[in-house]
Amino acid sequence: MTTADASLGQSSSSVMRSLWRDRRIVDAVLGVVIALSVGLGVIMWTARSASDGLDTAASAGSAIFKAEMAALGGEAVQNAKGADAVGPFAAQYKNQTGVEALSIVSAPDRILLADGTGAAPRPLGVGDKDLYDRVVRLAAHAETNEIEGQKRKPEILIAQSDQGRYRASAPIRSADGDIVAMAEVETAPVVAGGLRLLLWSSGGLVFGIAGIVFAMRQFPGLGTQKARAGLVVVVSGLILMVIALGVSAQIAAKEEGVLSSLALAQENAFAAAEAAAAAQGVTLSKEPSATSVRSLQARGTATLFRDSALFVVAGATLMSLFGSLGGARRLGQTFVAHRSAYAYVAPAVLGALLLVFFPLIYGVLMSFTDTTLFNVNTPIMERWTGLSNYGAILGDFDIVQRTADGLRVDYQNFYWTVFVTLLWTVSNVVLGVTIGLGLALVLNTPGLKGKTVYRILLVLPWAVPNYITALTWRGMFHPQFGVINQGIELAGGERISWFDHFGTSFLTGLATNVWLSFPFMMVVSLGALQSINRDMYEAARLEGASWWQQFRHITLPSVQPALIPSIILSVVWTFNMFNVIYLTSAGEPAGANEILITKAYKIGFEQYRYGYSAAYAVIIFMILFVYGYFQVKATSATEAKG
Amino acid sequence: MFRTSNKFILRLLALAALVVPTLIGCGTQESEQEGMELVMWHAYRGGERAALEEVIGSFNAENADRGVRVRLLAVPFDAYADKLSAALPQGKGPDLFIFAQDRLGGWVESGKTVEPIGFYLNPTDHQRFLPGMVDALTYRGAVYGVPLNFKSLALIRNADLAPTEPQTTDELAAAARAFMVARPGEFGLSFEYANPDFQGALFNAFGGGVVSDRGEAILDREQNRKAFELLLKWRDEDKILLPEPTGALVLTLYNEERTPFVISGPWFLGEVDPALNTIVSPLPIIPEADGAPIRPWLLVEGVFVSETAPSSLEAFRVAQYLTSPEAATIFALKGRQLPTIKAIYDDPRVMNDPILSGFRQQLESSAPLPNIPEMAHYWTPGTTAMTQVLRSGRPPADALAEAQAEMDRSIAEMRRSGQ
Repeated sequence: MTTADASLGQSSSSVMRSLWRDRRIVDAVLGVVIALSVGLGVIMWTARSASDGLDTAASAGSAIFKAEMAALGGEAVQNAKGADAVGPFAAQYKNQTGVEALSIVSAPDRILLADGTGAAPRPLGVGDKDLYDRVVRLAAHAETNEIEGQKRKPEILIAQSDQGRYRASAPIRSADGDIVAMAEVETAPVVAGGLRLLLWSSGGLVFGIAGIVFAMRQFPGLGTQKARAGLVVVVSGLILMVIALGVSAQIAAKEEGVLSSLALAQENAFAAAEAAAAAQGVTLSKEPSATSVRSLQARGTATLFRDSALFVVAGATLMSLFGSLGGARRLGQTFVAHRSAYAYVAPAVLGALLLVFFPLIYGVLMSFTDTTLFNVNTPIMERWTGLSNYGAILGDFDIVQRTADGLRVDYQNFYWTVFVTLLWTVSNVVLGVTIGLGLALVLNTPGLKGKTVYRILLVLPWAVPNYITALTWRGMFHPQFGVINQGIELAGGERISWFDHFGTSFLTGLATNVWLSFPFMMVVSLGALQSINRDMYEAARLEGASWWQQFRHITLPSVQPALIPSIILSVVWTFNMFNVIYLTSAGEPAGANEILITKAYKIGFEQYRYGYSAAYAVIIFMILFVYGYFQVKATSATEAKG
Repeated sequence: MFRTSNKFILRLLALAALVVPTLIGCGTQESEQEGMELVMWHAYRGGERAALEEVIGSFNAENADRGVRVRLLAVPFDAYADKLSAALPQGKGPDLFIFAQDRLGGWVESGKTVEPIGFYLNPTDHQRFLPGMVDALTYRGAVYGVPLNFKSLALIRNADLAPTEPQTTDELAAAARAFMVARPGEFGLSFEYANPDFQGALFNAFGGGVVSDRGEAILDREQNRKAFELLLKWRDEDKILLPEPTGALVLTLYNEERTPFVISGPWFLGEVDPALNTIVSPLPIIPEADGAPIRPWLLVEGVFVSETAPSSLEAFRVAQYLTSPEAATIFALKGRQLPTIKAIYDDPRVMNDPILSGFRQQLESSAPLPNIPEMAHYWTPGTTAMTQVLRSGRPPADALAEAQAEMDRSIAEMRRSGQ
């Protein structure tokens, strides 16, 4: 029996088993599965929300009328004769357009409701609060748009009514352009067609996996893992791109359909309004509409979707490398091998996911948007601005400006703040380590009396909550009543206005933070010092080494493995030491003394620019991440040196 | 293998024994009583809190048969506004809350926070409040809160150290100087002049301001520059101002009778030594401003209803109750607050109180703090401008121009983001 016959005779399950055992194929398939599931998941989710938005617009758009039912609204509704005319007008309009529900609410000071049955308008009752609020809200939106000179607020409100129908409320303007009434129509929901998302995603997954397996069986010569990973990237990237562009084309088509049906509906509605008004003996003006079709929810949805989808494709394709380079398989193997250990760790992992990773990812996402107080509740796609926040932060090189007073430093500039932060970090860590190590050396003197007492006293600054310390030091630096200035005066010097200049203000923060940080360094150094063998010093002294040489060649190398991780920690903590800067000097004078984290806080919570502030925070994170990575590599900190 | 899996199962059971009762406990926190419970947040302490609790206690007693109850929750003030902004849109916040008008515009713009209650107010309701109170809680034509009390700065003086009430700022400066001559080393006029809240009082007096009704920054104006110059005159020529003032420092000096004049609000009086002979009077007029009085910003605290409240009508009824004459009397006499209804000021107990009547008189020349979201963009550039002028000696015109540019930029960015 030839090998070919043997392979033909094998059952499909044994074929699958032999595939499974082939590590290379498993890796590649995992890579494709990861990329496709992440990519498809995100793309389908955004496609669904985009599609829902279009559905809403489509449903309401089947009967919306333009805002220039002007002449009728203005005069007819505002005087007594008109109040009677509103009822019949509404009834005729309803008959001619076939809308199911229609109501017209007259000017707020009259508040009369006509409901299209032809009956006389009635005043609003207690149950009509929602209606009243809509009238006021519509007027407020129009006023806001007029003040800001842009169509920021929608002037046609679309929502679902209690009965599940779609309701559109539009303003009625008088000839002067004032809003004198509001008209509402309700229609049954109109289904604008699905996107066949399930078909796209399942098709994509099948093609992707089959394609990879096929390619790998056909080309067993794909030697290196990197080549296979590259193949996976290319294949999954291509499939995702095809799907993204396909879905995006469908959304564009749907959007076009919705917009054209909206425009058509408006024409029909206006024609019906003209006819109804003519029957009342009123001619409507033909001024251009104050509210355009584009003010409805169909606003460049397709373009937004396509841009964000391509972004997602890039990200998901990169994620395939986790699978195709073997990471996913090895992770799965360890999960299986150490199941009980993972079960114990699971609650902590869950907690970390919720409390650390989710806010982190949310913050990173927000940094790509221009979220501010105004748009914090809108869908995230509408706020997406890509890398513009980063560009604005990192691209601003105007640190020094030439003004009438000479050269002025722009203290709000990112690079100035980076400079201050680096200066702050370096000076604090250097001073903290020096003082900490020095005190540890003193405390380590053999035969020192009262060592325990000294240790407790010297650790106290670390024990007191740091915001109390910061506020206390702020009080001590008060130019008039502060202890430090009074001490200087007693010594014969002149009072210093600590917070008036950058240099002195920086010193206040430095003093406070060194006070806070030296105990930590001292404790770490003391622990390391106590593990040094005394005999080495004896031997060195016998050899004639000076104190400095003993320090350099015995003490420092032994203390280093404990001190290096502490320095890394201290650098990260000091870089982000919000309390001391914010509470002691508050960035005085005029923001010159701020570090990156206080600047990010002020931007986020005093100016409400959440997206920009999130970008700031991500930049801080990247700086510290790069620093930490290289520092650990460079010093191989976890290994002790002989 | 068998032993390991047994232990594992036992440990899992132990874990479940901890977790499951907690989950059950969470479930039974929902009220099983009939009727409605409304949760109300506030940030009061001390006397104000006691007064509020008393009023709500009598509301609960009177409405027990209807099954409507209000549960109060005191929230620390520092995080109060942010807690509200975060919790309300998620439906996790209160049904009612007491807050001033400064964040109203921002809340309305970000949505899902406050419910308009103008629908429930009829003309008689509008009439019973002092003028300007309901307007302070109105944003773009919609009324969002029922005004509860108002606060503003006023001139607080120790009548033993300064017997006469100064009518003009020149008289005030003279009296402060006289005190400093009699008591060398002390300071005549103590207030947090570096705080932008206080700066608004001078801006408004000279006819300047921070934002227009249409949300445009109006910092870079001649009138504001003159306001800065008056402050600098007090500090550098008259030398009556306390350097580096903080709230705690001003309070300490006043309580130790080391300063006769303080400019502050009702919150200051809560911590003043009651043994001192304290009198509140309206802030003096400024001759340099054509005789206009100093116009501090008026803060109106209102009762707001959340969009997620189960019944806005019931919540509104609670707010109405809090602004009834009986409740207002308790707030005025026990909480030492200034109610917004006209009727309370006919009560001799209120009118004869030197503190309450002083703040009431100050109302005549107060200007409401703008409640529009653009106002929030003032505080940081405003503080920067003041610091530059006061500490670094920058000319006021330049500092104001730069602050104006910064405000214009951040307002434009905020508006652009809303598209």
